[in-house]
Amino acid sequence: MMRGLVLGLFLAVAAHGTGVPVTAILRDGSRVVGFTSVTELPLRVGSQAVTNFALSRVRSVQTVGATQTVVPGYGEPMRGRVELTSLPVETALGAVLLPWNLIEELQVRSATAGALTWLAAPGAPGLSLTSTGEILLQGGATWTRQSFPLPLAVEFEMFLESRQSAGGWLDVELVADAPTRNLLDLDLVSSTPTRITTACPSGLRFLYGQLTPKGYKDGVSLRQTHTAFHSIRQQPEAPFYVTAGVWQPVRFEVVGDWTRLEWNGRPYELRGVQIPQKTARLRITADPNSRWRIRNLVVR
Amino acid sequence: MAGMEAAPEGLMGKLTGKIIASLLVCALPVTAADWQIALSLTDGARIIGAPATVGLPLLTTGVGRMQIPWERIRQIEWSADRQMATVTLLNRDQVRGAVEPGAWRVRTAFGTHTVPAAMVRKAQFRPAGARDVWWAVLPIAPADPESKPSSAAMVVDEADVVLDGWQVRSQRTFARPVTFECDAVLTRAPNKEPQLGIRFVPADEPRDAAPSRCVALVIGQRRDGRQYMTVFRNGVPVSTLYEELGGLNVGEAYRLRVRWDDESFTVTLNDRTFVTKDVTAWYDSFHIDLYGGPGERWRVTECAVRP
Repeated sequence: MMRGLVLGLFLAVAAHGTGVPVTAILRDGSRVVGFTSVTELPLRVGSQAVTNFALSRVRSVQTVGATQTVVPGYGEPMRGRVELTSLPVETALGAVLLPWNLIEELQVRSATAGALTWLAAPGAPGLSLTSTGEILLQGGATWTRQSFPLPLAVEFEMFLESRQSAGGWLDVELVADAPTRNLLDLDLVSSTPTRITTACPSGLRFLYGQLTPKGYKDGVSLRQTHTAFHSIRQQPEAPFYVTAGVWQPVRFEVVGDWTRLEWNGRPYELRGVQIPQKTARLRITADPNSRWRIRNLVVR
Repeated sequence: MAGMEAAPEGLMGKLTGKIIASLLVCALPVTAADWQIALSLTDGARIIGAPATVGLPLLTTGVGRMQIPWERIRQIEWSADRQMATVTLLNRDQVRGAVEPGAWRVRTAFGTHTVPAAMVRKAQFRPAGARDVWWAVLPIAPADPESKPSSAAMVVDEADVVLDGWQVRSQRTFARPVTFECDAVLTRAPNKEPQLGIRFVPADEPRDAAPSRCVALVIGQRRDGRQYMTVFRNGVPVSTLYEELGGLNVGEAYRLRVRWDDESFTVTLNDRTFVTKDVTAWYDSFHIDLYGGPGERWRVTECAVRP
């Protein structure tokens, strides 16, 4: 199955340490980085119920007043009171015990941070990776060796170096983990990335274009191949413009029957999504005219 | 500081002024308890607390071994090879030397901890009670087409930024009453109308468009050379705090402090304070934005927020 693929554009070393990797922001502005041995986060919701969140599945815990908001890796946040008195953290300075009432925000780092292996076709042009883990794309395509269970959320930062007159696009897609038999044109022996993409269940595309009398032809699309194509360019709600020359955080979720994109503080959703697989790989493709950079990509 | 203003003109006067200023700095009634140390570590951590030792042992080439009291230090930065460190004192004098290896004891909110000096990337000292402001560049294309793409250098060190056509926004939100303070230096001004803007932006505003509904302070200079400070509410000027303050000069450092409580807006610029009333807001939680005028470059450092 993997014949013809080149392994390992990079294979970053997984973060060392045992436990859940966390960053705690304290009320005085201190930032404590390390690993905690706490694996479950008890959250009291209402007067009786206590929900135990697996800490590794939590994205962050934010304290506002006396209550906390637990933001999971994917899905809706939940508000309540965390029933912990302290949080042990193993840091570079040694073990510290953080009183919970000092913690303003607890960020849980994804285990995939810096630990993804990116694959590409042999001699694929327009693709390179820097020593710092940045992916540079100009017409190239790359995908992860790892596959991830659904539902999931993908977070990364995106950088368009400069806008070209011909316009351009960047695709971030969840592709099938293995070819399925119900696709008419799929050659099971020499499955190529292109044909894997044919079975793409879900993805998003950023695109930019030229200035027209109606504004820039910029937009972002949440897509599901074969079942829906939903452009969410919302004119004239807000002029959508893919700004070049700046890192922009992107968060893309696929949960249940909907996909959700959060970009520059604006949420976009597509409902009625049907995903045939239980797992998926991540694939990134760019147009040949523009140079796109991706960094800090994690899957939750 | 009145002694400085009364100092005579000329070289001798300037020297006398500098000596007096140094003496004043050294004579400030500052104790270690009033100050906090913020250590940025090589693993990304930031430890804030009070030093548990007397001072910084430094080996200089000129004077030899010396110990500088913590409360006289503004900042310590290491060279890339970590052989030498530049220690900036409160009066901005600088001493270069090798920081003696060892560990620093720091009393933090979560106990007293030993920090190996080799792990410290940068050390800052400031009055206790301040919160860092960490910035992120906004995806708003600069008005000046010649502005370079933003880069990692734009946000120099989370709390320090260079505004070169791009705007920045605080990563976290704040609530009133709030005091924002920073040091700003205008390092490039292609025209005679430089300006520095500070916006208090509602928390739910999108990042990719300049907010039209917010409270903002603009410090600038008109073409005729008169300086102004104007408070805006939803783009409409509420009041101009002061005019004819003098020009904004390239290379000059401006210490800025903005206090916004329930209704009043207090701006302190280089020890001169101006107050305006009736600056009400309809939002409780907000980000802080910084931006400069087209083609200008501002270096804004030591950004901090106090409740």
